[in-house]
Amino acid sequence: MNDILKVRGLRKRFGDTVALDGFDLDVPRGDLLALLGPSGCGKTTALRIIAGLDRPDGGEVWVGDRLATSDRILIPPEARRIGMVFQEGALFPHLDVLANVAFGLSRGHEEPARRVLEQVRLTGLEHRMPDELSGGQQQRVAVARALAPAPEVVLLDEPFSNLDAALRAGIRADVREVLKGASATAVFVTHDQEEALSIADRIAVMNRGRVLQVGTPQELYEAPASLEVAALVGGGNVLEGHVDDGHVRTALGAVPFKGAETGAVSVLVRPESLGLQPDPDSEAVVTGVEFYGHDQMVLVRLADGTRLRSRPIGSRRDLVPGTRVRASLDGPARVFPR
Amino acid sequence: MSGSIATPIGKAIRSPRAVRPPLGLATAALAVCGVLALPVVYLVARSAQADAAAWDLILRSRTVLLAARSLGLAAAVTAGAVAIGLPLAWLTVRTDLPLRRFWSVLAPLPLVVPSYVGAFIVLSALGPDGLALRLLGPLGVERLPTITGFSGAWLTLTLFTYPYVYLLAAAALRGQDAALEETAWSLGRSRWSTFRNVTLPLLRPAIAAGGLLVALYALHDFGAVSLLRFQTFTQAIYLQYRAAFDRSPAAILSLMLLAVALVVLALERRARGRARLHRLGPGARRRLTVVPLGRWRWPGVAFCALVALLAVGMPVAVLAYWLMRTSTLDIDLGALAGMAGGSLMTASLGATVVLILALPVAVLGARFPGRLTTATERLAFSGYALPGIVVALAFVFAGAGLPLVYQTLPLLLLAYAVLFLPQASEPIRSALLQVPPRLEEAGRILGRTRTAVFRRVVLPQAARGLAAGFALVFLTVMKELPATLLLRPTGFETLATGVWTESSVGRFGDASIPALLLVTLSALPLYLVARRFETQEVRAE
Repeated sequence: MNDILKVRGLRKRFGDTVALDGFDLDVPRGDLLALLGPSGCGKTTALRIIAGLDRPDGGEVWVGDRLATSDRILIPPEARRIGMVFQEGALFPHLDVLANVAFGLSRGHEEPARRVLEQVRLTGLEHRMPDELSGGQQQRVAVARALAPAPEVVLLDEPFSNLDAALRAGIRADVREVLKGASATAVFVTHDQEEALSIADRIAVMNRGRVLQVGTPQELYEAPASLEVAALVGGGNVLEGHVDDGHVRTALGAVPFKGAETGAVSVLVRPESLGLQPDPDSEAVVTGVEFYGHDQMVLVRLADGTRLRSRPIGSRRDLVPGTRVRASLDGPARVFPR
Repeated sequence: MSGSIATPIGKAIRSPRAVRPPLGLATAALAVCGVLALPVVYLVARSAQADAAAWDLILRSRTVLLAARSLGLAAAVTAGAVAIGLPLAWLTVRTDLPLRRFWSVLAPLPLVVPSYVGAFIVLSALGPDGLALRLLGPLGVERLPTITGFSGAWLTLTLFTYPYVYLLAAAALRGQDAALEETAWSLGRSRWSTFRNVTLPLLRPAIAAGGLLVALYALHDFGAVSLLRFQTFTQAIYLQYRAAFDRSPAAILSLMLLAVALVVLALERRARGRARLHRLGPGARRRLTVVPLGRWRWPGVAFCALVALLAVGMPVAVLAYWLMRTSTLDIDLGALAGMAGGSLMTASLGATVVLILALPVAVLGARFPGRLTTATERLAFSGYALPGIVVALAFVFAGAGLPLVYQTLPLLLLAYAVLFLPQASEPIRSALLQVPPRLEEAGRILGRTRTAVFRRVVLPQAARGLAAGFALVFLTVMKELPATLLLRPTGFETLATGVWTESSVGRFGDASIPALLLVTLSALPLYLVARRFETQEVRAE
């Protein structure tokens, strides 16, 4: 087994709220894994238990081949060889950048700290105090501090959510580069699917205290295991359908279908798979357009009141609110039993 | 199910993490609580041994009258202190009062004057043969209203305790969110109605907390009531202790005073409502609007000037007068240096001991909420109810059986710890609360043990709060009289005991120099304490 982190059956409740309900996760060495889920789904709780900051009600955490958390064992956080980057950065305000990064190293051994600072491109700022840094710089120091003691795994808890949108993409790429450059294994928690899709090697989608599906961004997008996963990764339109005679029939017409499902089904149509053509005779009408530059999201209401989202490529000036359109399936549709 | 699906939003989890405190910390906190409970346990044991004769003595002596006098004085002083402190806070914080900054610097100063110094100042200024008569004599004034008894005790205690109310109310006023008042205005409330229905209720916890400090100070006071000959509980306890061979009546009276103080404590808890003791929430607030006083500004200035004249001007004038009257040849510099050294030593050692003992209780309170924590905090807080004279007597009784420690410095320091621990644990706890727990977790994850993280991360950041706690205890020990008087090693003098010895026999001239020194040396710690409230202003803006 090459898994550096193994989590089995974590359970945790806070009063009446179930935070974790059978949470499993395997992270191979060198993997950059995103834990994606809506807020309140238990992501942060899972991370804190892995770090040893909280004790679960049940379940196990293995770091390397060492049992770190179980019913009987709770290795304290300082003995786990796990690094962590907090949402707030949590830099020590009374220590300068170098002292922050060297905090986890034995005294007098600052060399790794300087090396990591170079990796995050903060050389020259060693003696700044945290409050003299920009938000992006602070978060890079936090990453450097977590990496300096060369931990087995680095955990990042929504590390970019406190940064403004303009900075976020740049820092994200930087952090990925640094983590990859250090061959680090990392788990980072996020509720932002764009963030997860853009920097993770693999994504674990979770909701209601458990992991629903693990896969590469492409796998999750193209083959979601359930409608719930599809909703959390990419989103899209869900239509009622009916399978018979090798076709699935929906409000958009019938398309060939070769799956095992029969009878009443739900059909997932991603926005980019929904084609729109102006047609004065159609009863479907454009109700709104969100323009994004490289493409746009067009909101359509069908005759029966169903609302759909379509994402045609390029600038489509022919689609303005009020336009009557014909909607059609232009790409793959996924079918789920109802 | 049809239509587009959006990301479902789960229920956010926000609940305090109940973590069991480390064994060492819990043990330390419990041990400290044990020390706090020591005098009470001893007094109870002692009272239980009382025979019929002792009870008879208690019942015959005017116990009920004493209780009524003590409570009446405490209530009147509290009312007076609120009547001075609250308007002063509002005027200096919220209005365009002329010389605002000047008045706000003067306002906390009377806190350096201990009650027995205050009494001697009031006596020699307004007494039968006092300065005021000498000044007013040529104008035909031949006598002033009598100053001994209730009126003098009330005036003295009010003048030199109102800063407790002032400081807490001013901090709470600075911390108030401007948006709340503005909302009330926008809902059509007048300025006065807004003040009564929004501003004042929000100040209630601060007023209650300040009032509590004043009430307990008055209830516990020994020096001023003795010098001004107003017989209260504390004085009766002292006389009983001095006069009788059997000490159990003194122990019973002590427990009664303690019970009265606990009632006051409970009253404050109720008055405070559910709000926490003067802790300000985080978050950005807008600068409060300045209230224009208009034609009320001159009455406002007159009020501030009158308070300053009585509470700052009078002490300075009296001390200066006596200083000028004293020939430099009469000053025993050696004895004076000894007293000053004694004061500085007991104050710094006392503050250090209190700080060390308060730390486990404060850490427990700030980081490990739970049943044990609630219990230790309650107990530490009820320490406020312990009068100095009562603790001193308990230690005298206990110490008499332990000749090795009786009348030694360690026993005195322990008495200070029992008396002043609640004062220190509150600022330390709020300083610790301001260090985000994330920082501690970050330190742990980087491989440091709990203790190492506490030392390297938490303590440096809580340093200012610790300094404030230290300064507060330092100031209080400097001023403390009864415990020092009864428990000090033989021949050991502090400025407080020096002032007391001279002024209790009417030698005000000889008392004035140590008094002046005492007040001057207290100014620095007072500055640090007052600064703590000022910095909350910075944070609030």
